[in-house]
Amino acid sequence: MKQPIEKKFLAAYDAHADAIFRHCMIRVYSKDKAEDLVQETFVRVWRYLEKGEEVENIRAFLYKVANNLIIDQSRKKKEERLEEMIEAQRIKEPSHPGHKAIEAQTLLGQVFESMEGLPEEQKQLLTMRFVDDLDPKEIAEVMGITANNVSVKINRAVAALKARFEPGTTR
Amino acid sequence: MNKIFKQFKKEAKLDPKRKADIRAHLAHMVESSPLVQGKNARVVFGRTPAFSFFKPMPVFAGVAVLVLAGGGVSFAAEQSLPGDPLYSVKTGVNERVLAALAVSPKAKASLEADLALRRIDEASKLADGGDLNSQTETELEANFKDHSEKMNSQVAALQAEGDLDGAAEVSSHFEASLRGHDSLLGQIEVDEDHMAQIEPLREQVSSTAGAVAGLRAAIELKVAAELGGQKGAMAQGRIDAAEHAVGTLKSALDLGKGRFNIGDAAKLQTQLDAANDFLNKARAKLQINAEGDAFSLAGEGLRAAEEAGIVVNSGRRKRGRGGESGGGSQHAGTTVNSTGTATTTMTHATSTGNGSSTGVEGDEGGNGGSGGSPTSTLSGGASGSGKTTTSTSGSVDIKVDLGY
Repeated sequence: MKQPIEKKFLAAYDAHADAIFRHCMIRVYSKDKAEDLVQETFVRVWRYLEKGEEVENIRAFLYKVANNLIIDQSRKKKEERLEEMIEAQRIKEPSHPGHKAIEAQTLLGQVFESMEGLPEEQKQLLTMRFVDDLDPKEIAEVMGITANNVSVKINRAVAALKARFEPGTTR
Repeated sequence: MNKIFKQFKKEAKLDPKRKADIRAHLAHMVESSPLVQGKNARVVFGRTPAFSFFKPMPVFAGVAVLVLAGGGVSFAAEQSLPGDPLYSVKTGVNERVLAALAVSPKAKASLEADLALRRIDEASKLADGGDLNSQTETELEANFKDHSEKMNSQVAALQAEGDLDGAAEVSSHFEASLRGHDSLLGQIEVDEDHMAQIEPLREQVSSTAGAVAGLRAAIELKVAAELGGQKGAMAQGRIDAAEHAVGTLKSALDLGKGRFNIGDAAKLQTQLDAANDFLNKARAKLQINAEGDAFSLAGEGLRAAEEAGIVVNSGRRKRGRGGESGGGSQHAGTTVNSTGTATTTMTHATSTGNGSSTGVEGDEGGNGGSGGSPTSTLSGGASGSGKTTTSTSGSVDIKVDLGY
């Protein structure tokens, strides 16, 4: 039996809200803004569905909407530094407590600090590929470019990140 | 690097409460969507039982839900705000049951007015706590507008069936309530960002109050021009209603003495005096058989008392705003933008007669920020015969007159 659209929509929220939140959090560096973006993303998607439009890949579509919203945001003020956010989330190495946990936390902070300086598109690509686990085809759908192009751009983004993260590395 | 991403992915999640709040918000949005409400029959037909709970249902089923729930869920829902899990029950069940129970055009018009006022009250409470975001504000504003328009349609239906008295009564009460709420919105003390969020709603409330004033004035003109022998009884009825409202306001002010800061008390007293003044003029007009004028003046008195009643009822005080002493001028500004001429007169009485107390109010406001809330309640009902429902605003009860 075909599932009612409202149920599908709320199921999509249950399934993807956390992932969209993570994506937004990395992109805007603010927990509060990321939460607002999650809500706004799903509201926009529902409004779209309400018009009778069809969405084939809801996951990719959610990222696309979130992405547009992030780009639309004129202010990119960092309300909450990532370190504070990590602290709040109590991110730690579950199986290796102690200095390794602290190390992981510090590393994470550094990675995001590095990402922070990257061009918006590279941040977006890295987040979608390594945090959101979108494959190049899905990323292509979100960004409106070819999958081939995505792969090339991801390679460049990784190189750029490494260069910042490991100063000795060449691009 | 990849390992760190994976770890972040595993650990970073939406706060569970916020996740649930957003879900409730979305569920409510989905439930009230035309797509689900019946525009798309195929979708509605395929609805799951879990969701049918929030969908339109026959009145008996709605009443059964309320009875079966022992009122507990419904009552708790009545106090919910957008973002609360029970808010869907409030708007999706409780308010639909109320709508189904309102049969006559007058009851429907009254209910629509009440529902519009509820949205303002909700926005006001959220803004007070700094929890109003632009999305919620937009939705509440749209919902407020929707109910206001429906109220207008019902008032038109009342006029069409010849119940000018009822049409005047409902629109007059709505106008007074809107002005009272407008004042309250102006007293919310929030930072600039949050103020910017509440401002569109406030403008909407203010312009709606103006439009309703115009509607009410037109109805009163119709009463004066078209009605013959009935006018005397109608004017007397209005005078009685105004006397009741003035008496209730006076009691509330007496009870609340010492709990209001001097500025608020002075302003409310001025409004009470203005209401009494209108009432005396109405009585005098009735004595010389100028029933149309008496009807209109009694209405002014009634609205003045009701508007002040909203403020007293809310228990919200003007909190310290440093040296702004803005409360008085703010209130005057709020009411001056009304289009009702007599209300403007009353406002003049308020602002000019209260010149010295505005300064006092500023001083009071500066150190009276944490003053206690009055616990007395005042029914905003015109006739006092309507049934009332009670909802809670923080620690202060607010009575919403549903009956007229």
